[in-house]
Amino acid sequence: MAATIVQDRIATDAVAVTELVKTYGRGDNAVRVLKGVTLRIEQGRFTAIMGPSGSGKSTLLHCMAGLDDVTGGQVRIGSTDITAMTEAERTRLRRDRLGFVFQAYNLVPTLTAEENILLPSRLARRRHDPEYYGDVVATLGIANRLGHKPNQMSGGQQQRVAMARALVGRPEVVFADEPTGALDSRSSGALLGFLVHAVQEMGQTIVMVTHDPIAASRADRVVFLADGYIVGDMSDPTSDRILDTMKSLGG
Amino acid sequence: MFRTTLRNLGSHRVRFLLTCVAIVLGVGLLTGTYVLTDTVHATFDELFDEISGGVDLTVRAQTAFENNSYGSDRALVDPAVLDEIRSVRGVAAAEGSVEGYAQMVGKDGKAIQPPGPPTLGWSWSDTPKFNAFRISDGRSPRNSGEVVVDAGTADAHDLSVGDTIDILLSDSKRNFEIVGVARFGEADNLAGATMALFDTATAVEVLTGGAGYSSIKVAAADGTAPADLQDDVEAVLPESMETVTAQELADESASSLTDGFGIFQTGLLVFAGVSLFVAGFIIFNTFSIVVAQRSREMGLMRAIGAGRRQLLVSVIAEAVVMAVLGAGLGVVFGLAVAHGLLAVFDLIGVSLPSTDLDLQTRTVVMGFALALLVTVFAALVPARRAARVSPVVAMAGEGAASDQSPVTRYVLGLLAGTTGAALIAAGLIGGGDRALSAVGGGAGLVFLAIAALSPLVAGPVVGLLGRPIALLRGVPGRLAGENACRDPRRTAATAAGLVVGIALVAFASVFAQSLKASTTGAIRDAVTSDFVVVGQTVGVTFGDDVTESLTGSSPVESVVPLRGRPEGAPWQLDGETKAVVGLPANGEAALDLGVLQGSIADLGDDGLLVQTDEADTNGWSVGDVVPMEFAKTGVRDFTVKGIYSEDVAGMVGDYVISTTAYDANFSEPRNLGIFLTAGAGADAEQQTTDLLAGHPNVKLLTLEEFVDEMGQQLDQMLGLVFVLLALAVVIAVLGIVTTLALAVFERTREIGLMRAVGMARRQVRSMVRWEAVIVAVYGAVLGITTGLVLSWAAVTAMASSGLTHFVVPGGLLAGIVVVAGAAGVLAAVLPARRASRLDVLASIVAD
Repeated sequence: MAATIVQDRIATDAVAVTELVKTYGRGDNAVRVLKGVTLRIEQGRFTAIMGPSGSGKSTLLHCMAGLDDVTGGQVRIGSTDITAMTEAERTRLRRDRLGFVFQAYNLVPTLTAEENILLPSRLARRRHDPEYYGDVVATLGIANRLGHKPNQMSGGQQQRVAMARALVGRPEVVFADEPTGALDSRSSGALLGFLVHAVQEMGQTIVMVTHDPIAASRADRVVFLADGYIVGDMSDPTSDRILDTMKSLGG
Repeated sequence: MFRTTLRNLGSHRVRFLLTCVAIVLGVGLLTGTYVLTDTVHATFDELFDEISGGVDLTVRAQTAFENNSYGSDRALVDPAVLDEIRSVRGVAAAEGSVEGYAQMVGKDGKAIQPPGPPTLGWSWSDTPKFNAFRISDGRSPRNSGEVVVDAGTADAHDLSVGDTIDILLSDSKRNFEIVGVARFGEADNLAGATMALFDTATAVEVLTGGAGYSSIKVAAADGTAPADLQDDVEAVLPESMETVTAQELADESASSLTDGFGIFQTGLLVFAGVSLFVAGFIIFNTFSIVVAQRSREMGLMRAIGAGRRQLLVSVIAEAVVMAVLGAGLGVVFGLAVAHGLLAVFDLIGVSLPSTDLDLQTRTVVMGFALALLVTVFAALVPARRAARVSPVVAMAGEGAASDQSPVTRYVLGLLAGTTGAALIAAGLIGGGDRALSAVGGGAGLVFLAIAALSPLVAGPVVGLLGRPIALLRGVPGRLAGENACRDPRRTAATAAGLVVGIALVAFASVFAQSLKASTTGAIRDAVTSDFVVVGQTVGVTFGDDVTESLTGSSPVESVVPLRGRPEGAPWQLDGETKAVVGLPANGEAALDLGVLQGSIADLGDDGLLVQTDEADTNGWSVGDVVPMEFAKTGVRDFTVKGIYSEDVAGMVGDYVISTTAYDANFSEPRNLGIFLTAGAGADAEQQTTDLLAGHPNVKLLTLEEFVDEMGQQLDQMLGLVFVLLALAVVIAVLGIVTTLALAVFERTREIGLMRAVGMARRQVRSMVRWEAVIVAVYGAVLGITTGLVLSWAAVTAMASSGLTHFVVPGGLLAGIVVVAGAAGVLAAVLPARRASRLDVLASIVAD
C-alpha cells in the first residue's frame, strides 16, 4: 500500500532530488557545495531556483540535469535514477529526455538555426515531429531566421533558437541556466514570456536558475538556496516577496 | 618579456614538442647525411694515405678525361717501359701493377656479386711498401694456380685457405686454389668490392690477356727527392704516359671512391631539404593559430604598455628557442641516422674500417643555422600579425588580429609561382651543373605559391569532400566538413605540408611509370629476338666469353651482343659527356632500331648511328663527321652512317658504333646483354640455357621476362624514393596533429555545448577524425594535382631523352589518397581523444 503511494508520487514528479551532496576537490581542498538537498519538481510547472553567488544553485541544476556526477544522494528524472548512470547513459538521457538553455554560447557557430534546433534529434538519428517543430518555430517567431548562422542573429534571436532546440524534442524537463543573463530587458521579457507560454500552453516542465528577481517572479514556484542548503520555497511569487527573501539571505 | 616567452612554451608542451619533432627530423636527416659522408671521406683519405705512402710515383697511360669511379679507361703500359724506369738513377724499386675484372663463384655455384661495388682482380706485390694488402691468414700467391681473396668476401661466402674456387675473368673461367686471405689496410675489403689477388705474372695474363700493366709503381732511393725523380722518370717515358705522386694518387683514389657516395649524399640532402621545408609550413601554421588564440592576451599586453616591437620579438624569441632545441636534438638524432646508415652499409657488405663518426663544426653550424632560418622565417608573418594586434582587442573580447589583405597574398603567390615555374623550366631545358638547384629552388617557390593560393580553392574543394562524409556519418560528419571549411586559410596551411610530400610522391610515381613505359616500349619496339641473356644480377655486365659459348651452337641462330656500361660508356663531344653502345654487324638479326637511313651492318671501324632528335639538335646528317673523344684513345673521327628512331632511345641511347670500334676505344669491353634468336621448338629455351651452364654470372630470359625485369628495377628505385619521402609525409601528418589539437582547444566551449545537448563521446571523436580525413584528403588531392602538372612538364621536357610515354598510374595515385585519409585518421587519434574527454560543463561555466 505504502509502496504504491510512493510510486505514484514519483511518477508525478518530473525531478526528485534526495539528500544530494556534491563535493569538489579532495582531502583538505574539498569544498562541499551541496550539503544534502532534497527537492521535488512537479510536472508541468515552471520552477525557479535562486540564491546568492556561491549558494550552489548552478551546481544543483548541473546535477539534476545529468551534466555533472554527484557525490552522494540520489537524483531521479521521472522514475529513472540517474545517479548510478554511466557518462554514456547520461549523454543519451540528456539527448533524448532533457532540454537545455544556457546563458550564452548556446549555438554551434558552424550550423544554421534549423540545424542547431534539430541537432539533438539528428545526433540520435531520430526523426523529429515536423508539425510540432513548425509550431515551436512559429511561436518563437524565428521562422524567417532558420537558414541563418548564429553570427547573423541578435542575442535575443539566438536565445530563442536555443529555446526552440530545447523544446522541439518534447523533453520531460527543460533546464535553463540564467537564460536571460546576457539579454537586454526587452529581449529578456520576451524570452520569459515564451517560457511561461511553454509551461501553460504546451504543458512543459521548466527548471530555471536565475539571480534576477523579476525573471524568477514569472515562475510558478521559487526555491531558495544558500550555502548548499534549501532555505526557502515560495509558491506564486512576486518580485517584492522574492527580493525580501533574498535580502534576508544576505544576497 | 622573455620570461613570458618561456612560460608560453612551458604551458603548451605538446604543441611545442610536436613542432620540435618536425625540426628534429629535418635537421637529423641533414646532419646525418653530412656526418655519414664526412666519415666516409675521412676514412678513405686516411686509408689511401696509408696505403699509397710507400709508392713515391705511379706511372700510367694518360687519359683524355676522368670518367669512372674505380679508375679511368686507360691504355695498358708496355712491360718494356718497366725496364726503362728501373734503369733511371734514384729508382730504388719499380714494379708493374695490374687491375681488372675478376668475379669469384661461390660454393653454391653462383657468381659473387656485391650490390653496386665492382668485382676486382689485382696483382699481388711482394714489396711491402707497394702492397696495400696484408695477409691475415695463409700466404701470398706464387703461381698461376693460386689466389688470395679479401677477408670480407671470405667471411661472407665461407671461403678459406685450401679451398678451390672458380673465378670468372674477362674472357674465360678458371679454377684457383685459395692460398691466403688478406685485408685492405684496416678494412676487410675496399668499400664492398670483392678482390681476387694473383701474383703479377698471372695477373698480367688473366686480367689483361698478357698485354701489359695497368700502372707501374716506383719507389725512390734514400736521399732522392720524389719531385726530382719525377722529372727523371718522365724523361724516359713515351709521350702518352704520365706520372703521379703518392699524394695525388691518394687524393684521386679517395675522391673517386667518395664520388660514388656523392650521388647518395645529394639524394639524402634533397630529402633533408624537403623535410625542413615541410617543417617550415608546420611552424608557420602553429604560430599563426597560437597568435590568433592569444590575441586577447596580446591586446592586454599592448593595453598595459607593451610596444609592437616587444610583441614581435616575443614571438620570434619563442621561435628561436624552439629552433635551438630542435636543432640540438636534431644533431643528436643525426648521429643516430649516420650510425644507422653505416650499419645498413655493413649489412649489404660495404665494409668501412671502424672509425668514429666525424661530426664537424660545419655540420653542427649548418644544422643550427638552417633550423633557425626555417623557424624564424616561418614565424615572421605570424609575429608581424601579433605585433599588429590592437589594444582594443583585450576589451572587445573575441576578435582576430587584423590581417594583411588577401590580395597581397595572392599577388605574392602568383609571383612566386611564375618565378618557380620559370626556374624549373630553365633547369629542365638548360641542364648543366646548376640544374638540380634550379629545379629544387623552383619547386620550392611553386610549393610556396600553392600554399599562398590554396585558400582560394580550399573552401569549395573541402566543401565537396565534406558532402559524402555528411551523408555517411550524419551530424558528426556534417560538423567535420563545416569545421574544415571554417577557416580555409588554416585548412590550406595545414594541408600545405602534405601537399609538398604527396606532390613529390606523385611526381616520382608518374615519372617512374613514364620512364618504365618508355623503356619497356623501346625494348618492345627494338628487340625482335626471342631471348635475351643478361647479368645474373640486374645491371651487371659480362664478358664476351658468353657470346662465344652461344655462337654457332644449336639451337641458337643469331647472337647479337650489346656492348656498353650500366652508367653509360662515356665519350665527349667538345667536353660534354655522352654515352655510346656497340653493336655487331649482324645487329639487325635481333634488333630493329627503326633505322631511317643506313644500316648497322655498314658501321665498320668508324661509322656512327645517331638517334633522330640528337642528330637534329646537332644538325648532323648522313656523311657528317663527328669527332668523338674517348678517355683511352683520345679524339677519333666517326662518320654518321645512319639515323634511327627516337622510339628506341630508351633502349640503346643516342649513339651506336660497331663492336669493333667499341672494343678499340674502351678498356675491358663488356656486354649489357646478348640478344639471340633460337630455332623453334619447346626445348629451344632449355637447350640454350644449357649452353650457358659454364657462366654462372648470366641468365637467359625470354623477351617478356626481360621487359618485366627492367620494370622491376625501376619499381625498386621508386620504392626507395617512397621510403625517403615517407619522412616528409610523417612530418606533414605531425602538422595535422598540431593544428587539430589547437583547434580542439579553441573549440572547448562549443564541444562542451554539443556534449551537453547529447553528443556522445564517440560522436565527438568521429567529428574530429573526419575533419582530419578531409584536410588530409584535400592535401592529397592538391598534392597529386601538383605532382601531375610537374611530372607532365618534366616528361614533356625530356621527350627527346627517350621519355616518349606519359603514364599516370591511377591505381597508385588513388592508393595515395586512401593512405592520406588513413594518415588523417591516425593524426586525429590524440586530438579526438582529448576532445571527447573535455568537461561537459566547460560550455556552461563562464570563464
